Amino acid sequence: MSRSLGGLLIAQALYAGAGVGVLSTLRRWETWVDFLQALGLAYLTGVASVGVLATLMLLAGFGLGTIVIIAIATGLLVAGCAVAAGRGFRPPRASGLTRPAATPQNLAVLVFAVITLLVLGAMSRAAVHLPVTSWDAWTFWVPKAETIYFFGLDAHLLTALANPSYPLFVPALQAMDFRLMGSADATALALQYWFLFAAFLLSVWTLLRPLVKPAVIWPFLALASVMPTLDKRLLVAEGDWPLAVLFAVAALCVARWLLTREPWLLGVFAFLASAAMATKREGQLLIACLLAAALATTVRTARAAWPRLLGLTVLAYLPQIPWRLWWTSRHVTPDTPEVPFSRLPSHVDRVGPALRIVLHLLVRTDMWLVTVPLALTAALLLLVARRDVGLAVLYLLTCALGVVGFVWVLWSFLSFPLDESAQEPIPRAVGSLVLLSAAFAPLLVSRLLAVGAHSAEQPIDLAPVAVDG
Amino acid sequence: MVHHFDGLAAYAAHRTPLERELAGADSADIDNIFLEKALDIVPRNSTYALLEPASIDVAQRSYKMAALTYLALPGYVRFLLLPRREMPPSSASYILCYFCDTSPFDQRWTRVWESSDRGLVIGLLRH
Repeated sequence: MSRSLGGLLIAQALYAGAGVGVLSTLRRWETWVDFLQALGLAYLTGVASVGVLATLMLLAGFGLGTIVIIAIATGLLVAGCAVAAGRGFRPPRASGLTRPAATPQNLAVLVFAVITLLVLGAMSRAAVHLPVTSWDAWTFWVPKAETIYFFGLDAHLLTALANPSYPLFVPALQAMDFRLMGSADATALALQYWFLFAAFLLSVWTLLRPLVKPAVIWPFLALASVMPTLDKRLLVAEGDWPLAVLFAVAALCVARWLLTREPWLLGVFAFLASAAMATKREGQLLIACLLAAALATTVRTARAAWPRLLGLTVLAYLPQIPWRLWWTSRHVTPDTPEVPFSRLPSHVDRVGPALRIVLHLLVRTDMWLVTVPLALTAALLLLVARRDVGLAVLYLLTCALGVVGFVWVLWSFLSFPLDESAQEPIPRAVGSLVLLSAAFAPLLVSRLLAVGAHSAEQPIDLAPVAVDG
Repeated sequence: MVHHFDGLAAYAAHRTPLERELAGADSADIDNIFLEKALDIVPRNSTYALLEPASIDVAQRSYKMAALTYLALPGYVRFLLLPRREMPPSSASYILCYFCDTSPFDQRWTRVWESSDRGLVIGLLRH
């Protein structure tokens, strides 16, 4: 094993450990199997919390040295365990191991799980030493990480790179990887992205398990793992896929919370949303869309739901403020739209083509297979045929607002060509709505077919369950 | 899908670390030897200035340099050479000349390396 690979694996273990600490403060595990199954979600929570704290450390004038990284990660683990103990959360006593029966359903699950694992295995082999070939990766994402690794938050160097006001989460994460690798070996970074995607699949499985039968979950996880554009671009060291993963899992936490009202889910949502907003400016747009959709979905229980949703989203946004102060104080050109709202009407001719581009990009089977059409159909049927408004509205409204947001981006940036080329960001940005669809589809289909374990539940906003706490 | 990833893995496995590091340059048609020499010659704690032809037109017309190469070169060199810091030519220690006009430096640099057609030059400035 090369030093880079070893260092990267140690970094992932630290992120996972930090996530276990954070998650331990939010929820208890009944069995060790429950704990192990939550490791993917713990890892993502750890990446989110360590990454956001690392950006704050940088802005506070600290470098991201080995000691700082270990202190952040182990600090979160130890503090999390201490808080968990204080809350009376004891380690699980039962193993929770059960022997799966050889039913046709379980065999089908096995087939789809094997497909997913085969793709993940092949992806990991490719990710071990993948050259950095993407324009944006070598133009600014990786150079920002290299700058942080070599010099810390060097204003002169960072502001000389493209998109200097982009948030620091991804460069900070890559810089921490470099530090633990012992060198700025950019060819090893693809493996970081592999871990994020593997954690996405595990997190979706973990979050859906109590609500959806495995025979409905795994076909969609397999579908997500073989989407052509994801396979072509996932390992590219840019910010789009980390954002998509963080956003989709954050949204799924909200979706499950709407169904079960388990308080810990909103805690995880807050960490993931904070990281999503610190990843790219589109992250703030998407989290705003998700929040608006969640508020609309819970309008009848607004008194109980809205303070939590709004409060936690505001908390999640707070870490973005120091970065904004940093770059505005250095007179960095912001990445705000080229056309202000007041002058948008004079470019209204861009709206039609922009809408066509965004919608077409979402349903292109050569990019995403049938992921979005499947989830959309399930949501619409759920809404119309089953009158199950909560989940369907959350999904449809988040997507609709996301589409409006992306249309606005194409409308207000006149330098973006109105086509589907890589010269404009929307072909990559829609990936967030695609992963959202992949994560929501099993839940939507399960409720539509009424085969889920909780299929008899009332629509979410009409009868929140009693565990709301 | 699996074949696609196996292809990527095989590609990487048959290349040296340096070749993997420079693979991104191929898509922009940047001369690999120039980059290798820059990595080799410019010390990690030193400074450099990258100079290209005066414009894309000049690059294309006089040197048959693709527009993509012209646009990609500064960013790619910056990515590859960090922690070496990019500076203006007046304060840099090294000049990396990619079909640039070398006449301003003829009296004040030592040519450390040049390509066979003398279009690509790495020089150490005497300040």
